[in-house]
Amino acid sequence: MGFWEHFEHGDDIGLYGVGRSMAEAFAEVGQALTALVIDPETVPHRHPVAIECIGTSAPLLLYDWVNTLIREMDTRAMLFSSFEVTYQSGHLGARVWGDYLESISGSPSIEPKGATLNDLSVSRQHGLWAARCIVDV
Amino acid sequence: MRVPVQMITSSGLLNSLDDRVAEQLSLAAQLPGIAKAVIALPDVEVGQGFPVGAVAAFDPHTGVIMAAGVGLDIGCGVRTLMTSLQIEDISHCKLQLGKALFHSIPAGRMGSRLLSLEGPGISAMLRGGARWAIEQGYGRPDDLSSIEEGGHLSGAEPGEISHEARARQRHAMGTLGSGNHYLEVQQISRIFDASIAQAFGLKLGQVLISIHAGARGLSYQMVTEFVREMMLRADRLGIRLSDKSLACAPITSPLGERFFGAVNAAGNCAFANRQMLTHLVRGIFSELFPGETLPLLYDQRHNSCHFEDHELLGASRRLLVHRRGACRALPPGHKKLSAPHQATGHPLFMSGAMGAPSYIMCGCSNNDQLSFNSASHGSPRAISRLNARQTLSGHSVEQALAQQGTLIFSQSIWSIAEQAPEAFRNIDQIALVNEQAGLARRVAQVKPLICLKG
Repeated sequence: MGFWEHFEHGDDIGLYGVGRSMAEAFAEVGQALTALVIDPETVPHRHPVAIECIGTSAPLLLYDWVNTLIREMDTRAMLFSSFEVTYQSGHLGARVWGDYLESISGSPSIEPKGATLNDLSVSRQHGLWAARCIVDV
Repeated sequence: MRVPVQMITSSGLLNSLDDRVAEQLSLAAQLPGIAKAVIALPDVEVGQGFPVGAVAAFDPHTGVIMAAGVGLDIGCGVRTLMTSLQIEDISHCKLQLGKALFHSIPAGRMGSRLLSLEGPGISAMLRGGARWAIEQGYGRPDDLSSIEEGGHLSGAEPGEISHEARARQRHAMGTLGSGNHYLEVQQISRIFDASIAQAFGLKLGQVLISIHAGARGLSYQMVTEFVREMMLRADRLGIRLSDKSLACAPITSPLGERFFGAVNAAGNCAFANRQMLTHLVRGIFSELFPGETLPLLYDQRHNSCHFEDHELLGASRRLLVHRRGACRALPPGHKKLSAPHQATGHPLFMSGAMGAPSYIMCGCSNNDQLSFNSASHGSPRAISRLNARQTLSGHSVEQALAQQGTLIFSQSIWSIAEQAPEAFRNIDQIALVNEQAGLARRVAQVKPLICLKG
């Protein structure tokens, strides 16, 4: 099973996701992103959204993944709480589930602006994949 | 390093500085075409590639334009409106006023109450800035003379703003956003320079309204897209990036020119957004205080990038000046000042933390030599946002500020914890160091009465 954490970076906040595969680590980063805004447990998995990213490197793919999630959250006025990610040969495909802001109980907090290249990394150690990305908030 | 790093600070501020700031400044000093020095202002703190509270200027022929030098929130700034009210005029209805603002000003993740902007309309806004907003009925023509650059940046290229960036702005015009953005009703608590305060129309006890907001989703999307492109093309453009976060492009390259056009478009979006917020605030005040017209004191960006003339080695040179979390501070007599500010310099705003004082300042003579006519923009963090969220209680912060006379209105209790005054450094010291260093002088201190946060 994967897990996620936040880490400190001054006025911004870092997302850290770990999984048995790169795809799982990216899914955990998705959870960490939502957790910046609200407790993910409070977001029902009602509506699916399909996401695709193509990257020439794993860190760039992570940058695109986080930025695409932020853009989808913003333009659809939604938050996501369930992430199903697949990865093959530079192609990331995902189905994410969530709900519209107006239907979510609780008070969404900060608004992530975008992923940054600062300290961006995807690595594999001891059989686990770890993805790190700082988000400008 | 091609140029030195120049830190304008005090021993007290320097002691609390994150080590990464010096590293970020020295990496920026290695960029091609950088002029004179990389400047760290008294409120400098670690940023994304380039510190917040810093200035870098580049030769227009050999230099680069860097996304980290303007930040994701291009054109973000502070606008202050004046009232003819004194504190005693609003004390009986402070809660009512706070509630009215909270219900009428979209903050946090809330969308626009004024319009949904698409197609040609969004291009017109990106070209026109505050002028466009006033043509749409959101304000008065006389507002423009009190906005930096007249509220309109020439050289905006709406065609460089992607479909995705436009989509993020569709419902965002006239919204405050989240994070450190705010709308405050303030009172002038102290006057430092009576003659300049009088020239600006400021009196002790006077009620002001300040709006801190930027260009919202359009800018965030546009910058992340350009950063990606700049990073991927760096090798082909002959730029060695020791830190990918410093992604940049030669100013004269097609990519550099495209980014500059996009920066100006996003800057216009920020001016238009603050203009529309002003319209909402004026509507509320005219209902509660008939006759109040709320003229602008000034509107100024603290994330900007434009061509300016500066004196280098005794000669005037055109430079592309990046200000990241830094105010332009034109001194008295500067040729770019409008007539009303020729004798004093224009007002500039140094924001304190939520519930803490802020300062109205003006540029000092000869600050060109020190900082390319720049001064600090506000309080840096003392503890990280994450640490504040984990260790402070939003409810306790709200209650403590209410006891001190500041009413806080926010959609999110997490936001209140993250923006708590104890999470930021003391603005009094930042303002004082700016004055002692000869960057900007203190004109007045304001204290918040009502604070609306995203």
